[in-house]
Amino acid sequence: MTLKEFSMQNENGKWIAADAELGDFDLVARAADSEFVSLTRLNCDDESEMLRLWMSPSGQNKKMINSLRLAAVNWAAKLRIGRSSQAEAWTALNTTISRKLMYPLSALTLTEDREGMHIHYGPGNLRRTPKSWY
Amino acid sequence: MAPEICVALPKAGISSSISSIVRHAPTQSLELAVPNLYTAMGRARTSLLIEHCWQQTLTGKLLQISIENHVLDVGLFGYIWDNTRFASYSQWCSRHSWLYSECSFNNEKEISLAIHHVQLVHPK
Repeated sequence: MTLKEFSMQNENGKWIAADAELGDFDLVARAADSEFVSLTRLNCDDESEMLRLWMSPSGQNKKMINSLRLAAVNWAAKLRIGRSSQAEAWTALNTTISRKLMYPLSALTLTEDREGMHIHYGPGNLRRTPKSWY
Repeated sequence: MAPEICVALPKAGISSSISSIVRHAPTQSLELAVPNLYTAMGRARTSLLIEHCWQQTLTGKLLQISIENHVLDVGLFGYIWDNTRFASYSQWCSRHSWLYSECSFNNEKEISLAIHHVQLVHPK
């Protein structure tokens, strides 16, 4: 179990998530089996996984983007070394990896120009991408 | 999505450098219909927003609260779905929220929603 500590602060007229300073003490919660569990405390920038989604109060998407990109790269590596037919490759693209990448999308706030491109091409590959891909 | 497109399209007998218009357009117009992550994200969020607010589910009620907070944040009189006002209020409101991202996508793709929400009223 984790506890996310954060507060909303007004910075230059915009509300942003900031670390809450509640003090250094131990927080416990009673679990389903009536045992007391110490809560792990996370700051506003710490992303934690829930239902295969990485989320943080400050709205960072770094770990989520990395996990999606890793899934895409691993899948591509497996398809590259495999001996699939044309129909199998096409079906696999439309069923397995596409669905996996699309599963968390409705909870994300990616932008097309920045985070979205990093999933697609990776930070180092932007220059090598042909124009027709945009 | 490029790592898998780089590999899967040549394996499927299609050029990997094919135009993105041909790659992402639907099969009804005889194109490939490979999902575009950004468009799929916006489409999924819009349908989720409409469905849950219409059915008034628990998620829908949370979304309504989030919409009301967004209305207070932007300080806008009228509906926040008005795309003509997005350019002005996006300058001063918080940008990390799910709802801001949704409004931004709708504005970019010229999608108009008509979900009722509580509005600010002019003081008399």
